[in-house]
Amino acid sequence: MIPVKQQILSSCLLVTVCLFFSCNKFDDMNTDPTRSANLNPALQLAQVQLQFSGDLESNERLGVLETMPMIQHIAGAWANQWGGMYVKQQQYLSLIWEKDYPGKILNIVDAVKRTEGVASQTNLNAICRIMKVYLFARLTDLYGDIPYSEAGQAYSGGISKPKYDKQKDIYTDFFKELKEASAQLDPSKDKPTQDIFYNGDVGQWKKFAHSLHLRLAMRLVKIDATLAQQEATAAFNAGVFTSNSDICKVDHENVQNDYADIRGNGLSVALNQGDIIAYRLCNTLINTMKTTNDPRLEYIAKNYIDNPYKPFDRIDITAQVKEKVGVSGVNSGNFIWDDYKNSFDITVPEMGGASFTVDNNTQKAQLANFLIANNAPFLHMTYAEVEFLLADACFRWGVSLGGTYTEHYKKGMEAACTQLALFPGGPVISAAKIEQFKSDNPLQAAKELEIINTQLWEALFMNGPEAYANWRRSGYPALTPGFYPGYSNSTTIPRRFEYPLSEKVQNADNVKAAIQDIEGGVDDWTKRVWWDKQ
Amino acid sequence: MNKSFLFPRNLLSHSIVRMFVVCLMLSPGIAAQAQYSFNWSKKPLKDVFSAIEREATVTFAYNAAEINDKIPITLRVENANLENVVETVCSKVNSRYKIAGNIIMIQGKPAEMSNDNFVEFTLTGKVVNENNEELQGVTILNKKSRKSVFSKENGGFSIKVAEGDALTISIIGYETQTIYPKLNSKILVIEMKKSALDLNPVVVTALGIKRETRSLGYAVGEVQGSEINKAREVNVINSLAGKVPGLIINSTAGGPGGSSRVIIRGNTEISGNNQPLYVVDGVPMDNSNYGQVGSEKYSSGYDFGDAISAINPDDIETISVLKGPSASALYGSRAGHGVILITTKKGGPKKSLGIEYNATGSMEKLLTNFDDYQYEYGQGSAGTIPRDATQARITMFSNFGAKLDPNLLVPGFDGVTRPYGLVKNNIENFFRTGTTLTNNISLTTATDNTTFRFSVSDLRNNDIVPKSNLTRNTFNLRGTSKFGKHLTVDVKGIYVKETVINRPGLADDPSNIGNNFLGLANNIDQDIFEQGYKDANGDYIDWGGGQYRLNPYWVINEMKNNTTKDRLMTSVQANYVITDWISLQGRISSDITFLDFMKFSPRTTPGSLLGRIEGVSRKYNTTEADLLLSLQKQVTPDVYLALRLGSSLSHQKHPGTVFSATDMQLTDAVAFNSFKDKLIQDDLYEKRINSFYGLLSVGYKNFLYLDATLRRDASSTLLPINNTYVYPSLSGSFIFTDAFKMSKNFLSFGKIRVSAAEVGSDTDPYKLNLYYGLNERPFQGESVGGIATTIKPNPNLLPTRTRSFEIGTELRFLKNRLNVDLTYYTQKSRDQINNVPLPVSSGFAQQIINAGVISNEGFELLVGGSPVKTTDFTWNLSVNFAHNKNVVNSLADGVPYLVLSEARWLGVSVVAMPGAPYGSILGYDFQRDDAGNVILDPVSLSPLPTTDRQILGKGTWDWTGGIVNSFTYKNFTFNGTIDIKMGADLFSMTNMYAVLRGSDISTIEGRQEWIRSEEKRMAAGKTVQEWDASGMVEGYVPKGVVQTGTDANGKPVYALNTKPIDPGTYWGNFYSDDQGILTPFLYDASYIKVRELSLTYDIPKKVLGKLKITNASFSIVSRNPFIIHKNVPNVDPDSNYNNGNGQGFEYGSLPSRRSWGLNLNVRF
Repeated sequence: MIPVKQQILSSCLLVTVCLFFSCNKFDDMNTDPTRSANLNPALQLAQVQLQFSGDLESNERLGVLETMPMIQHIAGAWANQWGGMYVKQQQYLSLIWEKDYPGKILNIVDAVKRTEGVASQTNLNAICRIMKVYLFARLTDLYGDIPYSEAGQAYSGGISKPKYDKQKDIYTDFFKELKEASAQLDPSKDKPTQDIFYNGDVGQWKKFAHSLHLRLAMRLVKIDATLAQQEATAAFNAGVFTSNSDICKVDHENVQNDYADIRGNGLSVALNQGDIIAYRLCNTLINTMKTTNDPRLEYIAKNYIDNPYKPFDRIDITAQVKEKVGVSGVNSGNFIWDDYKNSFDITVPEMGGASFTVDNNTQKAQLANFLIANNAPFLHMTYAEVEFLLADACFRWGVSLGGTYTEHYKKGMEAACTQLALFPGGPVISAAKIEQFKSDNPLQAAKELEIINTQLWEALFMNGPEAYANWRRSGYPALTPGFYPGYSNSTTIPRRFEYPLSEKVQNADNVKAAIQDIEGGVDDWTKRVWWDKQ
Repeated sequence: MNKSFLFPRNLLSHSIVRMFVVCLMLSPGIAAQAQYSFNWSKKPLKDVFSAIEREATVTFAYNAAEINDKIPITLRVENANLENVVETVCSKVNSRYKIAGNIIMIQGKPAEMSNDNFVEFTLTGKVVNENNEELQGVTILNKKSRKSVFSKENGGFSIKVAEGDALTISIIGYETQTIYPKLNSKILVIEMKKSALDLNPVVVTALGIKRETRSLGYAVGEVQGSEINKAREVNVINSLAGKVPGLIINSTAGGPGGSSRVIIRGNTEISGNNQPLYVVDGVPMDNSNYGQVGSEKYSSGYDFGDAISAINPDDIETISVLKGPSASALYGSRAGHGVILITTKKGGPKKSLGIEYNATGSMEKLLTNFDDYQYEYGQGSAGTIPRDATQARITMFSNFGAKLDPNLLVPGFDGVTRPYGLVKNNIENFFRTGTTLTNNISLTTATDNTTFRFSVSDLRNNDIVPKSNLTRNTFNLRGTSKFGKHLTVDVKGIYVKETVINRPGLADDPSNIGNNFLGLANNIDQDIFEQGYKDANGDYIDWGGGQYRLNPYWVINEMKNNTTKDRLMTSVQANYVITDWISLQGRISSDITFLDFMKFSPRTTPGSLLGRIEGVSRKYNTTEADLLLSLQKQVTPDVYLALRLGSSLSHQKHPGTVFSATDMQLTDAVAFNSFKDKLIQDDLYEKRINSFYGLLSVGYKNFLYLDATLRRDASSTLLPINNTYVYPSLSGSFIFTDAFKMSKNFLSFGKIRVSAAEVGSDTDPYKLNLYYGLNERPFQGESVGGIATTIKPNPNLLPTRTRSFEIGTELRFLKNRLNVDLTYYTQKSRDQINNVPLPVSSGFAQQIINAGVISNEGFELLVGGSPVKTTDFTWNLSVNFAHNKNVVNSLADGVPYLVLSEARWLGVSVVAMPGAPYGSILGYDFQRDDAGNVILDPVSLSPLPTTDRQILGKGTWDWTGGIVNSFTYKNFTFNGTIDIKMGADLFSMTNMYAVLRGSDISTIEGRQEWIRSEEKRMAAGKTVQEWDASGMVEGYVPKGVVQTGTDANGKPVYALNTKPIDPGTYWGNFYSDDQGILTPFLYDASYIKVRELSLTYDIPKKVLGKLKITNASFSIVSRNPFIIHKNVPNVDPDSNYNNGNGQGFEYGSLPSRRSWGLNLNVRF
């Protein structure tokens, strides 16, 4: 028989171990040691700023596939049918919403909240508020009424299904926010670190806030001219951009982004990635530039001998092609193989004088390398835009905002030409050429707004969403729809983006209410946002 | 002895301790040492027994009809041990006794015993099995004397017999024999024959407890190791397909190194892991997901295989499948989806060296091919051939060109002109014949107290994809040793090393070869890419596939990926028998896997132009420890009680680093060091569960059994206020044929079983809090960062609960020639922990909450038997069938459905939607008019998709089954397994591409007309628009109606379309990134496959005897030799690209493989 002692001992041991194991305290085992519970909001601001132009996916869908072809800056590629021929691809229309809200918006709302009332972060807080306006402005201009006041607060505010604010109310809040944030900016206080736009320069941020204020005020010219004028004037008086050195931009690193990397220019990568570049300049843009003797045309429209996957090693044959067939791109509403051009031969000095057959695709002009370089700057808001907006405002309301509309128009043209020099490898257009350009294109009576806004449309090349918004609010340039039988789902150029399917499923009641307010009560891309009055 | 000083006083108060003490006090047992003294004078026998019972704490059992317990006894004994006392008493009443535990059974001696004329002698002998291996523990019962002995480890026994006695020799698993010993045959060798159908089979159940199946209140499926080590699978679990009712195994498109989806009784978690728990020799095995293609829209990557694939089939003794939570209530949360118990082989019983060698060699060929392609029209678009190299590149994957004509020369993507003729078996020619070679040798030995088994296995597989191979070495050492009388220690170590070179990229991966060739123009010989995939500098040559479709020859020759897995599973188990009815078992085990993965893309690889290296290095560490106290006692002759109390700890820790680097500087050294732009990130997954459990089993008279369990888990992944959960189970088994002593001529065995159980489960770690993190790369030297939690955290999560009920019966007829096993079950899981969608405008696309109920209901049927059984020929047949209905009952309020997976194209999702079957496929259908005609877009003439998505199918099976046949004729055995799966659907994106790119036969209509029309148009010098306006267009007339206007009520009016268009445009319009029509590409995935064929020849013993070989067999084997029936053209229906919950998608699958080979098995 086993001694009783041993039995008891083992039983005790068992019980002790059982009790120990059954314990339900695990200390901090359920805290992820590889991530943080806190983060300097300045880093969030920086990430939001960088993602805006660094994110490949959103720049590809929103810029290259939808707005740039829609606004007839580019054309020709198979993938341009979505925006250029109005082949409705809900996925691409939804993408910026699906990316912004759980990314940039979530973080900027969080950063604003966490810096609120923090004495050492008053400037950071103000900058985050401006950034928040900038982010929401792009969204509301695309979709109309959107979740704004309750957005991004599922965790911080417990709001699972944010309501849709009226675009009108959103704009009202934009103006309020910009004014307050600008007033809150104080050069004597903390200098925000890691700011990618202006490196914490509070003075520059003030100018950006006012320039953005001007842009948003001018959106309202059709729906509420009085308010537009009042806000535009206020913005101007507060101090807007006065030179290209004020431009709000991000200088990207020379990295070809993948879908996770955001260091390089995402829009550039969207255009330069892939085997051979399929995107072409749209003839709408080329022809406008041709008729205005635009000195920029020769720099931005290029013919290249393709070099698969090595866009920057392509051989420039613009001169030889131009000599034979002139400069042409792809017509709006055409694929590159429509309007097929027969091949011809040229000799190429770079190839040791060898003969090269210029086929159809090669004859159609592409975007110049400097525009699509990985380290190309992304221009969020330019001085040229500010001048064109002021020209529009001065003419529209017969006022002088620091100058006449003609003066602003000419300054805008000049800035638009010189801003190309901000691109690494970009052209420095001579003063003489710019003067010639200005004198070739005086503002013609009754066509002032058209000419001003057509120039702005050109200056907004490489900023599809903004060009699209300005085209809708100004009505210029007049674009012929790129309708393509058998492909197009709309005969006219869409006026807004439809709400994402996910929102209709997950936030049904709120989105339904918003759709009720759209003309006809249908969520359709041919309907208009509030400020885009018929 | 002062007992109290042994107890710490503070512990004494604890109820559990008190309980133990009570048990221990009551149990001195029958110990030889105890001495007793009695003095009876004319006491009735009854009272004598009572007195002994009191003194010795034993129970007497006897039949009052046989023994007169009123006989007066006069007896005096002094300091005698119990047995002496009992013996003396019995001799007084002419009875015999047997002491079993603390039960003393008394039997009256049969009358004939008293006048026995025969000479008693001692018979010695040995019991062996058919393989001449000694059998231990065989019962040898002398039917006359009722004495019995057990055979020892060497099979030997000795028993007192007299001539004319009958001896029965029995052991579970073998046919019982009766022999009549003769005086002259004193040494006897008895060969036991395996029973064809075990009357009382024993299975391994939870906690490693071996139990007779008759006593179980739930269904268990069992497969023997010998059934799966001939016709082998690289992943052993695939061998079980079709063999166990309700065990659903789907291999993925991941190839030999890939994983399998194993589902028992449907999905019980909406979005969690639904795969069973694997338990090896009683220890839960780590079954971490090593990584696979995800379920999101743009999913791509590799399938890194599963944990079960590390198990070597040669080491497997049996695999038991415990279905339903009641079977697995004791393993806790992880076992909520069933348990697969694997018992590995031990050494012994043979003392001399035992050697077994098993070798299999096989060749693999494509099982499926492109059987629905068209071979009339070649490269091009709109019915024309490519005009220049640029166009050739653009149309490389378009078969909407002109009619094939080998006399026509067309420019290629590389500028070289080639004939425009058909290349047959084009893609098939890319693949090679695969080979698999497996060698296994195992050594066993034993001493009196120790057994050892060591096995080494080597597996080498060369896949059908060139340059892709897998090697796996397994070393398995197991030793069991008895230290003294009470302690047994079982030590085990398994080391597995697996290396996979060039795992195939899957789904949307740019290196997915299955995808990259899709739609390749049928006049372009894939062989040209082999010669021309790189230039003189070694740079990639673009072939027209862009960055999303890499040249397969570049993929296999220049890109590389390696995966190595080093896995060490060790365990020590100690059993201490305190008394014959109390034992304590302690176990500790560690399962560590080191996974290293590296993928390399050289410079100029599209998408990674500067070169890229990326990889993962991760350790999967699981530690399990448990203690189990067992108390088992035959309380009375009729009542058996067993109480088991245990506690366990399960700790999982997976630290890992993920690295990637771009911009390769040193191109000759494929290493992280050679890159300029480097990135490294670490992560961790860690959780622990502490458990305490009890199991009470009651057996009554061998026909009624009841089990009750209770388990309490505490999980580290929930807040302390919510992290403890207790759940019970109850099960019973009733053998009515025995209970009612029914005649066994027709129904030889009948059992009814019932069980009910609840299981709780937790979630993954770190789901309760919000986290921030830095962006992976700094920008211009400065860090940027943000919120790093993508699913809204929820600190208030509660454990999920699953309740199940099952009832079943087991019937055996006609002396076991036919047996039937039928089970009906229901399961309901509530408080599901789900990632529920939120509107993204809230900042999170998902939140994690407790919500939702999902249920399963089904039945399983197994019918087996031996339709023919003669001396030379036996036909065994086993048919199984299982039906499961898996329904989502509810989700969180306001959540219409949960997405389980999203397809890359057409906006298709597999969802969990209330009221619908789990895994329903949601997609856009054709829009139809009231008459059911397809409505076409009036302008483009392409069919219009419905505005909303509808349920068009489902990814789960309605029913599954298998047919296992085995024919034995003399020394030949033929086995065949058929696997049947019915009722699921599959969205084949491969076939969608075949249509979009004009490869599919369905796209041929109207092509000739279109080409003619275009020739006329060009001759007329008209533009497309002008020709269109002229009304002279010929081509494909899209089938359907177009709206021509509206009637008075504003209702649309439709007319049949008569307008022809370019068939290429028409079919091309089915392409959609988002809202596309699914219907034409959704197939019934049902299939009937032959999974296994084997023909074995057992070399006769008389031949082997001379060679000192115990046993040898030679087999011709095949796995997946052919598909009897399928409805999906071009691909294998078993081609899902991941093993997640959202099944029903196939995208660019590689062809599946069939294998034929030879197997040799020799035992010395």
